[in-house]
Amino acid sequence: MKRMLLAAIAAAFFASVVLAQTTYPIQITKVETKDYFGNIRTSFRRGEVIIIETEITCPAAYYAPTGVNYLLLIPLYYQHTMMGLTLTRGTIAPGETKTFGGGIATRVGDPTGTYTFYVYVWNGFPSEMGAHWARLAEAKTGTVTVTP
Amino acid sequence: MKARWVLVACILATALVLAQPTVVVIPITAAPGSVVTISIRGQDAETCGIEIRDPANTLVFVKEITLSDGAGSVQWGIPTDARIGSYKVYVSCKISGNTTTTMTVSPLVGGEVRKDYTPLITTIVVAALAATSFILAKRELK
Repeated sequence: MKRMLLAAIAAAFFASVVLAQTTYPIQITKVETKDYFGNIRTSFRRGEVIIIETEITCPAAYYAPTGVNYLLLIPLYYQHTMMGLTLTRGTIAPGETKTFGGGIATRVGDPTGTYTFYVYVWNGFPSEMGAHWARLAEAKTGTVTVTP
Repeated sequence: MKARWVLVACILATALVLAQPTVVVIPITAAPGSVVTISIRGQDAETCGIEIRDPANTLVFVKEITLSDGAGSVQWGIPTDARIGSYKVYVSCKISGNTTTTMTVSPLVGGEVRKDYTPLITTIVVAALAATSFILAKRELK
């Protein structure tokens, strides 16, 4: 009997680990790059501001009575160098959808070419969460072109 | 039999508590404009968050990585106008926990990253003095 109970506890533990890896409380449902006037664009001249707009949703079936606290980060990279970052923190309730648009300014001396951005939704920075750090959504990525 | 199960549970719990991802930064001292590789060894296909902060605690790099067979790496291109000094590299993984390490951004001097040889020279001098005093003391005893 005790052996059965221990086996059940072990199975539940491993199931929780596996489930924690595959399901997330937030989904990134839309990612668009826009200019200052709200026009969808993927090509920007140096000196312009790239606005990356994202939409996130918390599934209605997700159990979180007080909502889910999140940190939404959008770093912009040229090759391996982070050229800019926009971020926000917030709380989202099950069934709720939120939109965030952050601008990253390009500088006149910046390199031209393809820039890659990532949309991350975490429970906080690794430096503040430590071992309790977790991602809350499947990351999204996209590219923009920066021209002279 | 019961004691064995308790022992197994304790070992498992200890392993989980003490688990930490292994993080290696190469090179550990680099110049602005160069690229460093941050290699992580954790568990299976877990997700890790990487954050680098400069000496002024400004966020200069943030990335997420999903390990493959417990290993993975990311590259960070140090901006040409990066601050000189000690940078903190924070790595947090879903299963294996978190680790913090440091790396140094040092200016280029004569085409090479300037290295601080002071600790090495100090160690050699102290060792030489100790050896000399030991030999002298032995001679006096004779």
